[in-house]
Amino acid sequence: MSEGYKQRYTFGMDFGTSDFKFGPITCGERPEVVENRGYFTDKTSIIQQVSGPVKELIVGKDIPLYLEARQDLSARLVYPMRNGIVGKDDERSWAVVKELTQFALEAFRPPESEFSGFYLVASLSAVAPRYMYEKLFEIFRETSKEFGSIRAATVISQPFSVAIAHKIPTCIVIESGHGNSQTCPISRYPIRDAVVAINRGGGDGNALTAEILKDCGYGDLVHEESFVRKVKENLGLIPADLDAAIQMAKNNPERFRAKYQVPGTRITIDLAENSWMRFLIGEYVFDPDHELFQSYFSRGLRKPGDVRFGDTFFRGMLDFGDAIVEAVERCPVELQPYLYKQILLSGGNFAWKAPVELSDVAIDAGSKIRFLLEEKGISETTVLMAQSPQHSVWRGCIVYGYAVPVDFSWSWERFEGWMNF
Amino acid sequence: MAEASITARLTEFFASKGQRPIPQDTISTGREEKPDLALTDGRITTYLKIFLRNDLQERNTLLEAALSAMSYTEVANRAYLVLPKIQAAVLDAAVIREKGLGLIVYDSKAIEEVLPAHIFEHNSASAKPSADLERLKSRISTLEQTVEALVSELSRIKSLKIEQPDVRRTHPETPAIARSQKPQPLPSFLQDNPWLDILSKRGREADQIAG
Repeated sequence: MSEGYKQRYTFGMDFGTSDFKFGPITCGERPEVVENRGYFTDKTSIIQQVSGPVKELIVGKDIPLYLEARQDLSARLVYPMRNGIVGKDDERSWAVVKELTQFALEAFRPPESEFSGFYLVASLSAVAPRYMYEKLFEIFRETSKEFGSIRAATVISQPFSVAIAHKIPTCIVIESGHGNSQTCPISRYPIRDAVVAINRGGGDGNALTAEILKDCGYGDLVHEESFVRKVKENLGLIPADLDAAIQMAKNNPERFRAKYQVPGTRITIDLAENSWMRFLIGEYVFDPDHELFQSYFSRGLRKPGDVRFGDTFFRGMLDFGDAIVEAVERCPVELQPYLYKQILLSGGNFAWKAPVELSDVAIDAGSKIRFLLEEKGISETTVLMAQSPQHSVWRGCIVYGYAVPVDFSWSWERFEGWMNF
Repeated sequence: MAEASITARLTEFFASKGQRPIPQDTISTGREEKPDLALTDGRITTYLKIFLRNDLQERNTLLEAALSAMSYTEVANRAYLVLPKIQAAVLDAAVIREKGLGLIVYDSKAIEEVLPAHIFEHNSASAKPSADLERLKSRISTLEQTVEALVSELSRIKSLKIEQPDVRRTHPETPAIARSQKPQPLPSFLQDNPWLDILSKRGREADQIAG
């Protein structure tokens, strides 16, 4: 197969924790996006028996049309990549992955007669164990056999994709999603042995926000995670220095007053004299080891613990500065200064507001990372926020598929190359 | 009968010069009547005004015909008057040459080109198209639009063929989001991306530790 054919039919898939981004190179700047989830219908439901046969598994934008108001809804709605990892024997999650794959490829099947399958580049979390790669290739092989829509496929890590999309060959990428975060050194290749995984993500920030809302009298609203997340995004602030920020906020509560009117509702959240707590939310995401958080742990907030998923050990309480240092120090000494020089932040957990009027106290995610590194004696750093973080992994997949030669076969030692079908 | 005979002989005469007759119904004309015979080799178009012996009973008839033939040069690249040899003597060849017309004479034995016609070059952009040509253009344009619409419809149907129940397996919820496969400029993230050079050398460089 020629390079020209491969470049015309390069296809990217980003299996994110919340969203599934997909599309061929002809999508241009933005892929299609659907939620990374599937709904298992109830075959025994009377409504389904009356309305005719319905597929057992629904994916894509039509899911809301099939949802039923049932107690077991959460059991039927499966999010396969919530933590970036799918269990080896989690058949329902793998079924969703397979259905999403086929849905995406069929949605873009080209009409041209020369088409004999896409060159598919899929992207998984940096901590995805080897069995996930094997399982994904198995799904691709079956799809190729059944539909003829895949000519060859490969799987790369999401941080590697982000570095490619941002045109930076040597850097550290920190990808922070809902459930966990990964610090990944890249130098023309992803340095897999140096990845440092953190068992902390946007979901932990939501959990602390829920505790703060309870303390402020809004306990009846914290059962809806999407609502709590909105409060976190609108009220949470990252302090340059937590102790100093709290002191200033307590001395001048009106200046730091946190008030949020939930759009389309009559609900207004007002932290009033407790507005200093908004700094706890931002600090917790970057460094949960402050003594102030101990009281929350003792009252029931789940403390991020050290866990093992697959082959990867996730650290719970490691701050992002330490995670970067640890990842860099696993790399050759000669390379280390170049890695510190370019740090790329990717993922929704780094999207924080830094109001100009509070710029003496509240900072953005990049500045916080810089401060954490300065505390550890590292000052020569440039921290960049990924542009279009929602699309950058897919873009990296497209660049990878476009450039890597068709005759570069998959290698289980490198975790790179094309698996031909 | 005599007319059919001379037309056939003229056709043969011009065939030896590489010119083929143009069907009467597709001959383009200006304001004047159609020529008696039109020929072309794909590049040069030749119009003929043919006179039979009986046509020239009155002296003015020839003059009127010559004027009529001159109008052919608005459309054709060259125009000829075709006369019986015996009557050609009444014409002043200098006048015909001055107007750029050619003269062909014939008798029962031979056809002879006594005065070559001037070649008139027609710039297609500035040429005044005839009503027939305009009609033809309009019909071609309509046909092109129809073909384009059909191609587009065919592509759409092909892209939706997954919704047909007899194709392997159905995906009823699949949205119709197939996009144009026409060549487009490279997306911004592909332009000036140093990874293109790095990745294009995969498999062609010395082993590196991927970790």
